[in-house]
Amino acid sequence: MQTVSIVAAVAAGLTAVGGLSLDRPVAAAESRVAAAEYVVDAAHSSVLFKVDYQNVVPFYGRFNQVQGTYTIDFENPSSSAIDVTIPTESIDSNNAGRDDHLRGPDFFSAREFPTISFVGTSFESVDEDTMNVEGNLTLRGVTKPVSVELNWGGEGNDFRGGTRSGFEAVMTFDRSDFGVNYGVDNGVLGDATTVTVALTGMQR
Amino acid sequence: MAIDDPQVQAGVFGVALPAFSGAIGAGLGWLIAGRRDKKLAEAGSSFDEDMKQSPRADALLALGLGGAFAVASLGLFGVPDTWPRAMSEWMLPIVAAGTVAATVPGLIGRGLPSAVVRWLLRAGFVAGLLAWPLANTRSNHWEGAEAAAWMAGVAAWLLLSFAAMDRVATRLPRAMVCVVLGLSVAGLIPVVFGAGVTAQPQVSGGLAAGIGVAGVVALISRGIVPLVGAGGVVVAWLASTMFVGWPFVADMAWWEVGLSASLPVLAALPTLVPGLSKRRAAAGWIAVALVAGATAGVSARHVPDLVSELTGSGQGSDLDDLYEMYGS
Repeated sequence: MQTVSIVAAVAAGLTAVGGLSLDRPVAAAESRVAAAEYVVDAAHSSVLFKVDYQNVVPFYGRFNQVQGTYTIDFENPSSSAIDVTIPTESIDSNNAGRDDHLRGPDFFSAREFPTISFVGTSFESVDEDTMNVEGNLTLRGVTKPVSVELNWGGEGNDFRGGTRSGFEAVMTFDRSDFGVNYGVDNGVLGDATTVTVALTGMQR
Repeated sequence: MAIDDPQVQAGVFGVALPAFSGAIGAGLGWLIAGRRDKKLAEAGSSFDEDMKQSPRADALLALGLGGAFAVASLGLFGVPDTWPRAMSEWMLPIVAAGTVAATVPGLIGRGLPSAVVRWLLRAGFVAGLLAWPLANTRSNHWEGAEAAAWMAGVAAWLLLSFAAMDRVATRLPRAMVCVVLGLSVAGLIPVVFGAGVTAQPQVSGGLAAGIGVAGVVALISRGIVPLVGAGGVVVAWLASTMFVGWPFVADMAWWEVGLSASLPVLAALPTLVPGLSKRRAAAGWIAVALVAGATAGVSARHVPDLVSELTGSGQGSDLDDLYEMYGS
């Protein structure tokens, strides 16, 4: 019994450090959404990318920073908005040398183009949790329209107070359309790139 | 014609066709230089006279070198389908514009009109660089007076480099000029590669091959082939190289940028020394030594990594070797 208590205490401590609380969990997801604006909580959001490596395996990397705001309104999609910016320097592929290469002129040229941004332009509800979003992706100085499938996670009270919401969105595009074509011609790296964004934010 | 094997593609578009372009430029230049130039050479004319007498040869050689870079760039990376945005995408347009500025004056005539047009085109080239390729750098890194100072500095450097290379091309023996130009390009490839830019070294290899073969053709030809236009193309290439490699874009150290950018002036220094100005061979050897020393200074530490990458001497794939290099 004592062992169980110690384990529970340690688990509670660890999860609290991670930003969650066993005692006061975030409210269960709710599909109904008020048209409130949320500010992205970078510490608990994720931006992942996937590109094929030598046509045999998908390779995953991430960006460690993201900022922006969003308003998602399923009842009145036209009042929704998304404006997200990713600092290019924050790319992380689990290899310092490769990260330098990815930040350099062959790929993102981060010193010339410090940010990647997505701004939603039109929103269409598919069901109570899913929304199709059209928007402009700006990458390496090139702005092109892309489609995003957004899956709403819900909203509720944050354990520190305030209101938190979150969603996951997935977009796929050809990176060569944005001038990021290193390794495409020789087949080392794929052209089709999938970006998964899992954002959570605090109501402003 | 599609070439599936990357190594064959690199050999054809990065070396063979650029060398052919350089040879064609020099060969046509030699043919057009004609009998009059041969007589001038046999009479021991000065190089200033050569330039006045053989403007078309000069223009065609410059065109051949610009063609060498273009063949390498287009062959290896394809035809750009958008207006360039990143500095690495500006390399070909910069060298192409520099080639135009180097070629047109030789095609329109001789003497003062040609010189005026040459400098007007160079001024336009510099203004274009400041307006377009440097736009991102300007907006991301410079503000107010700092921007004005950088722009003025870049413009001054380019104009000084053109003037210095003119002096090199007209005051040093042709063989030495060819070596200076070829060494300037080939010698900077490792440092640019070490800065994390792989495109520029690949296409620069094409320009180096073009200069090498053009130099051989120019040397064995009996006609006079001046090298003012060729020097102008190399200055344009140097601009594209500095801009894509400098710390505003990539990872060249500032001292590497400074030493690399000084190559035209270094090569011209011996022509300014009173005792050497009339001893062209000695001045030429000193110029070659200065350029060799400067390029070795900036590139030596990057050569092993470049060789390792080119030969795939690591345990993994080429990209793994590259990342091992960057991580080291």
